[in-house]
This record gives sequence, structure tokens and C-alpha cells, in this order.
Amino acid sequence: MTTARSHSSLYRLGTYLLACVFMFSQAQAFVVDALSFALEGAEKHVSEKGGYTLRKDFWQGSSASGEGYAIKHHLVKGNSYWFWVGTESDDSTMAIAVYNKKGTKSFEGKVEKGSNWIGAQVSVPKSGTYYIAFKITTKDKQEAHWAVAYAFK
Amino acid sequence: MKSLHSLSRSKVLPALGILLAAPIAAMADEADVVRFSEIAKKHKKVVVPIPSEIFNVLDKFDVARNDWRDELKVPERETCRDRNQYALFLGRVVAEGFLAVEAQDREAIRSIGRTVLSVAEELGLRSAVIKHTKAIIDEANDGDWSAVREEFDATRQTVRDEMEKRRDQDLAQCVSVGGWIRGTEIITALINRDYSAKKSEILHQPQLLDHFTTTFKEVRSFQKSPRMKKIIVGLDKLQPLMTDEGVISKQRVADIQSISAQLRKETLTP
Repeated sequence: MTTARSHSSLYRLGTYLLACVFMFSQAQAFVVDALSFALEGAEKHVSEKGGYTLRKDFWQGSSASGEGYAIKHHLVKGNSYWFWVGTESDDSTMAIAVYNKKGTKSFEGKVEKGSNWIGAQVSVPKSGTYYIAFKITTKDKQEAHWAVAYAFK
Repeated sequence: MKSLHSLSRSKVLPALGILLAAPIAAMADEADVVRFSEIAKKHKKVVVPIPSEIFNVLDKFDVARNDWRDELKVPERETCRDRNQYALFLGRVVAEGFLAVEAQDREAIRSIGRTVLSVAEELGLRSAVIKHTKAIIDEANDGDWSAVREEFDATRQTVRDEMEKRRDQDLAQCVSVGGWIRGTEIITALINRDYSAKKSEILHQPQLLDHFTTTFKEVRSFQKSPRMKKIIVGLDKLQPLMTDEGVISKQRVADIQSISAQLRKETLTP
């Protein structure tokens, strides 16, 4: 026999599972949005004319508003790279930079911005590990969900 | 003399406005900049480049097709002892696929495609990989080499994604390391045929080696496997040769080639 207590537990469990499903789909939606914005930045460069090859993989996460974050990446000298960061947070200010392991930013390339994305081009002077650093400052100071994509040629 | 009241109206308020506006402007500027100090201590795993990134640079060295062909060692389908071994072997076979693309060797690509499918089957990945292997064979028949290369990249990515979905991260690392060992052997062989410091620059990979070694050392089950132990020892030997200091000499390239060839023979074949 199902007791009132277990009904209540079942109800709570059901609500919790529903909330989880909702949160999961929300999180997925944020990622899809963030990625689609990153790919918006990529579009012209990965076209036949742009000539860049997009890696069919991406990195995603969330960070507090105004908090710097980085993807550590092995870059190969001789390639030109474009990195794009997209976020679903509207009206946010975005920054991007590429540093070597010593913290030197000595290989400035182009930076491009869109409404919800920012991109940086880089050709490194030496093969090795670099930090693709970025920061998203949201207007409402809420955390930002982001996705990073890159291409090379 | 102006009264305090008039001062506050005419001077103090604008001055206050400037004083208040300055930090706001500075905050806006800060949002536009991401400093190294903000990210330096947030250590993350290093993103390993896909083979196409490396081969894209090698393309610029104008290696003769025959030189690529000479290095080709088309592997036969082999029976492995366990899943780790299959994953290492799969990484190696895919690396061979990239080489076959450079050599534009249709028959080798067809054979590699079939081997990839059969190894994927052993790992329970046949359905995920079959579309790629079909495309590899079709595109090789059409002579669309860049499409074949992209498809090998996609195969590797699909295999890794599927393994991670199944929480088989250790297997995914085996695929990466298997490919990296064979890839390093191929690259060093080609550099040594016509050595230049510009070419050997591509071998500066200390943090990649660090990443592979650390990952392998962290997996407890690997510590019990003689094969995995050999890989860890081999990676440790490669570490001082592939540092980011100085020029990687012809001799060092030869040493890297010899260690990676030995690793392939001892760990990437059953």
C-alpha cells in the first residue's frame, strides 16, 4: 500500500526529476545557443573562400560574469588559427587573448566581434602550448554559458 | 565669492560625476581585457591537436609523394588481447590512414578503412564508424584526398566521442596515444630524409607529452599492464628530446624516431 508519505516522496522525486530534466534541457539549450553564436563568427572563415578547416569538436562551460577563463591548447607553427567564443548572454562584453605559457601576448592577430561572440586569429611564433583566454562580463552579472570552436589553415 | 551652494551646483556635481564615471569607465575597460594573471592558475587539460592540423603544416614542406609512400606500413587486421590494445591499435591504424592520404594510395586507404571498421567492431563501435569508413573508401575512389583526410579526422572524433559517452575515457586516451606514437614516427622519418630546423620545430611538444604521461600514470589499471608501462617509459624517454628549448637537431630527430618506432613495434601491434 502506498502511504501518504511515500506519495509525497514520490511527488517530490517526480518534481525533482522534472526539474532535473528541465535544467538539463535548459543547460543543453544554453550550450547549443552559445555554440551557434561561436559558429556565427566562424562562418565566413570556414567557407570555401575563407579556407579554414573547422574542427568538429567544441568546448563548453560556464563562468561567473567578469571571470577570466582559458582553454589550454597545443598550437602548431605554420598554421593560422581562428578561435571563437560564443555566449547566449545578450548585451555582454567579451574579451579574448592568446598567451604563451609565460604569459606573453606577443603574437597579436585580428580580433572580430559580433553581438554574442568574439573571435581571435593567431599564428604562433613557435609550436607549443598556449592559453586561449577569454572573459564574458554580463549586464545582469549572472554567470555566462559559453562555447569555444576553432579552425585552422 | 561664490557660495557653497553655487559651488556645488557649478563645479562639485560635474566633478563628482567625473569621479564616479572614472571607475565605471575603468570597469568597462577591464571587461574588454582578459589578463594572464586572471587565467594562469586555472590549469586545464591540454587540447590535443587533430592529425589534420599537423598534416596541414607538413603539406607546406612539399614532401614528395613517394617519400610518404615509403613510410607507409599498412597494418593487417589483428587479434588483440584486450580493449586497451584494440584502442591503441585503432589510433595507430587511423594515423596510417593520414599517411596513405598523403601518399594518395587508394588501395592502402581501402585496406585501412576495412581494418578501422573491423577494430571498431571489436570495440562495439561498428554502427558509429561505418558511415565514415564507407565515405573514406568512396572518397578515395574519387581521388578527393582532402575529403578523405577530413573523414579520418571525423572517424577519430566519433570514436573518442562514443568512448567518452560510455565513460571509457581511458580507451579514448589509448586511441590518442596510439595515433600520436605512430604519427611521431612518421613525422620524424620524413624530417630526417631532408632535415631542417624549420621542419623539426614541429616536434616541440613537451606539454603534450606531459599530458599523455600524466594521464597514463593516473589510470590504475594501466600500472598493471606491461604494455602500458612500456608506453609510459617510452614517453618519459621522449620528454627531454621534445622540449621547447633550443633547436631539435638531426640527431635528436633520429633518436625520437627510433624511440617511437620501438614503441610502435612493442605496444601498437598485438
